[in-house]
Amino acid sequence: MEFGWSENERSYRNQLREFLAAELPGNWNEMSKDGPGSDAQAAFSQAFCGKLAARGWLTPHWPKEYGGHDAPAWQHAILSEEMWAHGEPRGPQYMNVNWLGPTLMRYGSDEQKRFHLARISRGDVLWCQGFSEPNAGSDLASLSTRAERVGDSYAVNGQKVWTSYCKNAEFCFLLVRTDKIETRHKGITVLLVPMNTPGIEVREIDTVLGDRYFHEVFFTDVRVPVSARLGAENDGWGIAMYALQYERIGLPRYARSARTLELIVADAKSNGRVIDGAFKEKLVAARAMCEAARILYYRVIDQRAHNQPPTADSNVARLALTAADRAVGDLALELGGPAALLYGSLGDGNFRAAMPAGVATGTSEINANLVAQRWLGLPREA
Amino acid sequence: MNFRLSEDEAALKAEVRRFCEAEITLERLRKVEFPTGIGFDPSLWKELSEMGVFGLRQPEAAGGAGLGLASAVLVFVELGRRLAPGPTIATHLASGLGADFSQSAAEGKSIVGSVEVPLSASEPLLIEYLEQLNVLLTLRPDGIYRLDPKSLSAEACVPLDPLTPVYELAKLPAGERIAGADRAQTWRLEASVLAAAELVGIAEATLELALQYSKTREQFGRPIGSFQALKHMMSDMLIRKEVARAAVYAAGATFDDPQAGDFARAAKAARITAIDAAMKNARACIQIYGGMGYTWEAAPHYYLKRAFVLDRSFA
Ligand SMILES: Cc1cc2nc3c(=O)[nH]c(=O)nc-3n(C[C@H](O)[C@H](O)[C@H](O)COP(=O)(O)OP(=O)(O)OC[C@H]3O[C@@H](n4cnc5c(N)ncnc54)[C@H](O)[C@@H]3O)c2cc1C
Repeated sequence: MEFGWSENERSYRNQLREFLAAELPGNWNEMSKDGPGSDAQAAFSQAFCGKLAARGWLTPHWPKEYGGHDAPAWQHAILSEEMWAHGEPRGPQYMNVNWLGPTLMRYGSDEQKRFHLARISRGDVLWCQGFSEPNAGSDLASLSTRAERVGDSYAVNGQKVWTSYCKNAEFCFLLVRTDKIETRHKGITVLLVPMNTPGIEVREIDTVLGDRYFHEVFFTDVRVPVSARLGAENDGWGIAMYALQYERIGLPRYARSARTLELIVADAKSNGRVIDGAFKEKLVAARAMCEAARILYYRVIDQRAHNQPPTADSNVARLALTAADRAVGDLALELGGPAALLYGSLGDGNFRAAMPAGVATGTSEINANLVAQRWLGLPREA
Repeated sequence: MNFRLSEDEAALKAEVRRFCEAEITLERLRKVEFPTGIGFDPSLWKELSEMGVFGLRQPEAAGGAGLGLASAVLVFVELGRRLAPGPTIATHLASGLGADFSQSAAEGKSIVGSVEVPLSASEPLLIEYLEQLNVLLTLRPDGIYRLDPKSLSAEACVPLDPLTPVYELAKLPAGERIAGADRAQTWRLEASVLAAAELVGIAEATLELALQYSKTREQFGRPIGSFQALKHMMSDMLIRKEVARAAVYAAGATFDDPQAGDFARAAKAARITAIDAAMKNARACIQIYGGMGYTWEAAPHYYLKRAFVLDRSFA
């Protein structure tokens, strides 16, 4: 066991911090208050990711042939920590690096890899994830958006929902049904769909989280060439599960939480708010939760770095991330003084960022079910 | 000892519930969401006045109903359950501050807000409902002061809770002292019990919403309420709500009958259990709604936000 950072890794982190200090505009807090999906952040991310890419920092851990630098997976962990802790200036592009890249690398055709991985590692493309449907959330295998083969293309009809960052996205990683609904997970296929294809309609859903957060997407006779299929027909479930493993342990949520704790304590002190014993205990407990989440997260990164298959460790880590995030989100409101109850304040911002962690990318209950089955070996609920 | 509501109490509760369910609908509240709307509904306020919500505890001779705090908490649970807008607690308590207050409450003209001072000099001076008020009371260590809100200039803020309008003041003048330190102290305790009652209403409403949703939403071919994880979540919601309801009723009854115990303690017990129930139940409700819980359209977020506001009020 070795918990320390190497000299290289430490200096990489310092360089990133200097870079952020130089690149984030003075009004960054205001600009980022609606979350990574807002128009302002999506636009900012295009230039910002380009600059990261130019320094070789956007996808450092990818193989050279796909625009990376063969750096260890840990570099990406450090990058993610610094980015998320500072309000995610990569905007929605964090998803590209977290789960799209690894999934495309594993399942993409040569042509798909060449095209998409190059775009991602250049930092100028936005994606969205079309998994959930009105009647297929936790029960993803019941999805019913249909793709019928017509010559050398598919005709897609159906609806997705809760699609994050979709309004500004150029491509959708879309799950469709290509066999009878009764086949459940055996009849699902992945299509990589350009969002400007005729027949796609995106509607923003008003949310409590921030602007342009999530959307409904309607597909009416949308023609997608067979060449845009990822993997074989009806092999989509395994691909989606692979992607989810990366997504679930993608954002180092504890990094933002830990930084928030520092900010709220500084803010409370500078305003002369009393941090009594009860608050101190909560702060310390929340800090400990962030730290535990960090170690559990690293354990998953370590598995990946050693090319081991994913285990229930990632579900456990996800639950720990969620708990830490929520504890800090609550404290930010509680300790934030009167202004915490205003939109866009430190308290409100962190509360909104922390809130959906237990639902997005699979609910806490589903994660707990998976821990019970995979780690504890308990039978499924009938 | 008698744990049952009296006939009158049960009738009061039922009547207020009927009124609130008919009149205080989310559709109606949404129309006044702040800051696009004014965050207040004058015609609804008038109806609440006419129902006697504000004069409830004033003598009948003064146009009130002559009831006690035990009855008032029944009413305020119902108001919380439907997210009744407006400074209900301060207006209700203000009716006890003298003839001109009880008079205008009886006439349905009283809209009284309150704020605890001093606030830290470096924090923004935020006042709820300021532009709607006709009286602003400040609670200070040495008593209660009265101010004319129309004499204050303030700016509208964008609050976390769209159903509680908030304004920022540049400066808060001293005002006219209308009651002493003791009166201010009981005001705080009574207010905290009424806030606890509203919080119980929130705990109850969010349990009802969660139940309803979990019985109709299906995943894996069955209602999500059939999964034990959710059943236990909702049993816990019920337990928290019942614990808090018992504590709030006890606080009301203790105030009316000082023989029954120490009101200050009972008030604290009510407050602590009610805030716990409201916050945790609202969160659990959002969790049970899944993705739907994060939409503006669904009701649960309004309850969580109101709980945050009440957590800060009269604390
Ligand atoms: C902020 C946010 C962003 C999102 N972004 C995207 C996106 O970009 N793309 C996308 O495809 N999806 C996205 N989602 C959707 C997300 O994946 C789903 O919301 C999630 O999988 C839950 O599905 P659901 O909303 O249908 O809830 P449901 O599945 O209906 O769940 C409702 C409740 O029932 C519980 N439940 C369901 N089944 C069980 C069970 N077997 N045992 C115990 N409890 C159970 C759940 O835990 C939950 O509490 C996003 C969601 C959020 C909140």
